[in-house]
Amino acid sequence: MNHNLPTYWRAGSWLLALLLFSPVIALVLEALAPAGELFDHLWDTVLTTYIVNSVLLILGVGGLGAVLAIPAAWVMANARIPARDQLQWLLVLPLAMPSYVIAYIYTDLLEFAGPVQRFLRALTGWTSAADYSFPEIRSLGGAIIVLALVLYPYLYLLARTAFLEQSKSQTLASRLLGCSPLHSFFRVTLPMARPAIITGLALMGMEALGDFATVSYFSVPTLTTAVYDTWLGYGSLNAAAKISAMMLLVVMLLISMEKYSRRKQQLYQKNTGQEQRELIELSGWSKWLAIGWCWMLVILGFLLPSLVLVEYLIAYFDESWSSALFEYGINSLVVSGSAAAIACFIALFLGVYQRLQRTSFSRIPARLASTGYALPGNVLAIGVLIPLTLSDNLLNELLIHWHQSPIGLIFSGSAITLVFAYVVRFSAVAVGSVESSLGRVSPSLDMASRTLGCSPQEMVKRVHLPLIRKGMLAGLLLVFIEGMKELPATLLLRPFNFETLATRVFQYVSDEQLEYAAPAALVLVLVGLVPLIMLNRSLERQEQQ
Amino acid sequence: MSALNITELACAYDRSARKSSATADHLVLSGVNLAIEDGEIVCLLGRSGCGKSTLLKAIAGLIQPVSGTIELHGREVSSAARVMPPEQRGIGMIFQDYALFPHLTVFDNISFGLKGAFGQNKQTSEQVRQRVQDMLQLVNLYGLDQRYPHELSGGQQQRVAIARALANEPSILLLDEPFSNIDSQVRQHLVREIRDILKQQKVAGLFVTHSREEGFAFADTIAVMGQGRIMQQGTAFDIYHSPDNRFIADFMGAGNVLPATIEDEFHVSTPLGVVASTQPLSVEKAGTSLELFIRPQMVALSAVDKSEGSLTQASTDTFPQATITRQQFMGKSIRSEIHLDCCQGSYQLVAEHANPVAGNANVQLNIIPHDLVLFDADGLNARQKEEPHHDAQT
Repeated sequence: MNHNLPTYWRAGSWLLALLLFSPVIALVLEALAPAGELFDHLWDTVLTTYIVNSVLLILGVGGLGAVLAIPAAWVMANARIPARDQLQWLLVLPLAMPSYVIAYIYTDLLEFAGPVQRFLRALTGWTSAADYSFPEIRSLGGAIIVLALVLYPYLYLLARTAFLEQSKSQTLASRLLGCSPLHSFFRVTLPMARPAIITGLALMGMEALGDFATVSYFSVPTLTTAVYDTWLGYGSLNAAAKISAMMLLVVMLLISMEKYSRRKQQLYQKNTGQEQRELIELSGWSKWLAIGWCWMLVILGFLLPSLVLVEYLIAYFDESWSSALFEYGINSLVVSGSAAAIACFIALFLGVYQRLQRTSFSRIPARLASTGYALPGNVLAIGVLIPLTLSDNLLNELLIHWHQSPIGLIFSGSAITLVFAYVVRFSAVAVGSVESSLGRVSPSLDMASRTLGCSPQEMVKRVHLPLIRKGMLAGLLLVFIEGMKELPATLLLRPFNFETLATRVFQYVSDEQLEYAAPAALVLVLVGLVPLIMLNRSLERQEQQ
Repeated sequence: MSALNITELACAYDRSARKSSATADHLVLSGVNLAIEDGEIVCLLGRSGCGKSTLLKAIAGLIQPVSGTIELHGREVSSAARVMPPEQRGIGMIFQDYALFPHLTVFDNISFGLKGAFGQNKQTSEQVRQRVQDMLQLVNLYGLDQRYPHELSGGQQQRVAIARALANEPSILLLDEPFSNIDSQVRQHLVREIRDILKQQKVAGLFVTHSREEGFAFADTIAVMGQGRIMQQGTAFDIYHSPDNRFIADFMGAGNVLPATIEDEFHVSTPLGVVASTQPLSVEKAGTSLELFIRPQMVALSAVDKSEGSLTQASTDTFPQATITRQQFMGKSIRSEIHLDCCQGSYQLVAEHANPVAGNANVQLNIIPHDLVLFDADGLNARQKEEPHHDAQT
């Protein structure tokens, strides 16, 4: 049923959508512009290394992530082990850990002066680095390990769900057709989970590609660091845009991979839901291997780093607890809070448009507004810079033209940039949240309220809004949290001397002084835990059904 | 030799019960005896929760029995001491949700059990191809070998599942509610067709269902399951017409129950009057109060001409008159609910008959003489059996 929304609503939807999509357009246009000297120079010299490093990073994180996550996912879906209920959510927690914090902590533990190597030297009597070889953590390999440790939960969650949704009868069928349990896993269980696994790998790949903090800390040059160097170091928007566009291509490749497998997944998973799950009883060494594997992930990815942070907090409390901390905290709050509110408003606007205006094009605005989520933070930052700088210049020229004094860079030079960037990047979360709660509102309610005399706006206010309030709140919270944690775009776009909690923690990491930023780091971890708790709740509810 | 032989099987679901000494309360199955001959199709009929699925799992090798044994072609495959893994049993299984592998084509699904590095029966790819084609021909799906399961209808998917199981030449085929997801219009046809395939391939089958009609149509003999054991095994006709206990009688179809006492070898007296039996009754039960179980189609009705109050010539006995409270046209027959007031109280009966009786009419009831079914106070069939009834109610 088509409800005629007023013109301002329809036009507004498209305008908002285009505004949120403008960074992508700007980026593509800028990238297509003729290459400047700097880009040619980079192309001739180091860019190949950067590309190779980025690709190796994606492949390495994916490969190691698969090795870590898939066995854990299978165990959690199928086997009965002690503390299974707790492990189920503990295994997701590493997602809350900022990768640069983990990178710092493991460097501290594993470098030459760290406790592990000191212990080795004490044990063996070696005295200098020349006496033995120990893998260098500040390397591509180190970055792969660190990123895999915090990103594997994406794959774990998807694979576990896929394993859970597989019908037991398919496994039984393969056994009766002659497969041993192990053969059955490789011939049936794993291939049937393949779409979910590829989706998980694509998500991990996108995160790994967009990572700036870890590779920068480990001094591994990748496409991400190249964007920073070209813009912050050389001030070349053109070169930065070109490199960003390259990353965009990789992202598109990963997304199409993800989309393709999601489609297949629907065909693969149609559990009738009639059977109850029976957990496998592991025994002997396999039981201990399963327990050890899952706990290793939780300890390395979350518990150990958290403990170290708490230890820093206690040991350096007086030095680190300062009023500056509150200032950064308030900066983070204000910027993320406003972005969350705006994103939610946009989500509601576009969601209602899409629901009430049933034309073939009405789905487009919400999709356009969601593209930002797929962009790596630094790519998006470059994309945001282009239109904002342009409007600043335009505005100042106009003012001069009208014989007024120019007001400077009010868009690109202020925290407004950050808010805009966060809205572009995270609106998708709010849009998704609103869309799914609107989707649960039965269409017959629309017909009922319209036949009872509501105008479309009245219906939205009296029927839809009360019903989707929870979804909107969730969207608000999620955008807020994403904003609090955001680092790569913030580093590129923040005004001079403007620090958020995330940039502060990263600054201290870069300065080898994380000890002094322990409170801020812990706040980031705790904030990051909130969406995981929400996610876990909804998963549990799903399982109970 | 029996394709399947189950002796005194007991299974428990609870883990602790399986490990320690299991009490009877924990047992899902107890004292199950079942034999299936080569090429025979047996239907395991029972309500949900009666232990059918557990029995199938035990036969497939997914559950270890608490006691008792399962033999396949004389080879013991399950006992409390040892359970042979499913892949070594040579069993085929058809599932309610078909359980086709969604990532494989029809061809790869059917050849799943023929391929791979699994020991002795390695075949050349030409042999595999030939076998798959034969199977497709058999289940009438020739030419669909490159399709994926999701491109097939429910009935087609079930045929692929049959082909996949049969390609492996199983010694017995287990069918777990295979028709419950099939449209009712095609179901009957598919039931007949798959029965013909099994008969043609001379495969023994154990068919599990809760639907009487499917069981009647598909199986040679029926085993009625209830309360974790097999209550009666025999042909559908025998079980329907001489059920061992009230539970089975009700499960096989609706019936009327009247208090009755045995008069002599061929007569019982009921509130309706004396009813005749075509088979001798167990006279030693004479005098005890029993229950007479009468199928609706054995109750004949005839209209009473009120004005004359005389009887039509069909019913010369002294059955009392009754009133029809409701009539329902069922297609093949007409179902009438009858209210009857007579000497010892009021009774509600159900009759099924071919020809309509004028609505709301007073009718004359007549029980057609047949092999009467009588139950004693424990709900057991009061008929004298050739062999003693050893699995009596507990």
